[in-house]
Amino acid sequence: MTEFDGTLGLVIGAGGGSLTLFDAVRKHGGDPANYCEIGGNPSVSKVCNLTKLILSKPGVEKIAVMMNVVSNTRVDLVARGVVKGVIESDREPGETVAIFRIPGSWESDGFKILEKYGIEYCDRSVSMYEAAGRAVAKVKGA
Amino acid sequence: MSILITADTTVVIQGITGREAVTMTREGLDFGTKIVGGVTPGRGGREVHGVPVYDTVEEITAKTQVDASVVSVPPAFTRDAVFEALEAGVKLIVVVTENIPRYEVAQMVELADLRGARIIGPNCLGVLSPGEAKVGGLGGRAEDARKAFTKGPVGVMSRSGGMTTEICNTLTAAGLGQSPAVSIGGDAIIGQSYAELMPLFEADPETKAIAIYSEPGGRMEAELSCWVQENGSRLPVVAFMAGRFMDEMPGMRFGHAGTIVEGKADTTAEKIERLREAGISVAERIEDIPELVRERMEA
Repeated sequence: MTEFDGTLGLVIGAGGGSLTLFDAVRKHGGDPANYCEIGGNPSVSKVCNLTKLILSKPGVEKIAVMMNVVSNTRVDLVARGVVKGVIESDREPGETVAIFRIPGSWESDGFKILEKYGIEYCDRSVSMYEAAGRAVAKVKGA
Repeated sequence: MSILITADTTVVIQGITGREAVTMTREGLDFGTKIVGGVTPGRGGREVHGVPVYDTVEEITAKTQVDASVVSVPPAFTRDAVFEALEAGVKLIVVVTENIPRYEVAQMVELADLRGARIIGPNCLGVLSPGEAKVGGLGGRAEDARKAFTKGPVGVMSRSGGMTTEICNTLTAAGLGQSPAVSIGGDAIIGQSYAELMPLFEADPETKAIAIYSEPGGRMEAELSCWVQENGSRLPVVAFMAGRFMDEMPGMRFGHAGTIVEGKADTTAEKIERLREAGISVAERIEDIPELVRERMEA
């Protein structure tokens, strides 16, 4: 995990995706608070713990969960982990997750989970750059 | 004809009984890849999704032609597995394993050179030729891979496995297919760089343009620029440059093992300038790639 001074927590991945997304957040004028990478098919508990870690930093208002179109990471497991982490941090998922943009394997299962908890998500028709913009706008509007 | 792999390429998977490899085997078979065998020492005689498992690569090459191997074994055993495949005469080796000691990677690459073989990776997702075959985990499940990848005129190379799919998906959505896509690996030392793969694309009549993902660290973009200029390449190249924020944070490490800014030449600003000097278009956003590719192809 890497620390900065902003208010938006970034749960992003993977190696190249995080570099791309970090640039996109900055280009939209966003201030990252911290960031962690979730590449390589993480388990629900791993994502849950990382989400809690990101949210535990004072000043983190919202988190953005974003990746490139994934092949071997399962969208549903990440969604489950994020929701669990947010709830265990005593926060409201729909309020806390500014955007969830991870299209790819098992996406329809993942999107169902996100819908259930009122989390805004987008599929592959929304670019990484655009998704980052939506996250930044939400933090600024908050 | 696609470069590196075609529908006829015969493939073995070393480490086939591992968790990731079992998945990769299923996905590969579903996609149409000709997987003729797998290797896990001590597990000979078993089957993984109907693919016979052997103790050594040589047992398979003694029976049938093997064009390519995917190496998916723990880092400590990767060098030996690659040596085994090379000595058995396999000419294309895709190494998906991450965290292999650099010295051992250098030895693998050296031996491949001596044997006239190519190593893709390490720390890569492999090669995918749309409609033909995929060697490695690139694209994931066959149904997902068919969504993101389509056949067409753009050769794609990327240091990031995930961004390979992202770029191809964006090209596909814009009606531009791929010929094929190669995830070359994110480590500091890899088997095949952009410049080393360029002659294959250059010689492939189906390829009309190149799109690459690039990031801070290493000399690969500079080498590509040199190759393009020295060989007067017929192919227009479009590069997406990620990690621009790293220029302001020298010494920091993000992303891949190879993403280390050691000097001025490693910064994105320098790289962008070097690429542009060679006539390579540089995209700031992924969604700008298709338009730049089209512009350059029509020019």
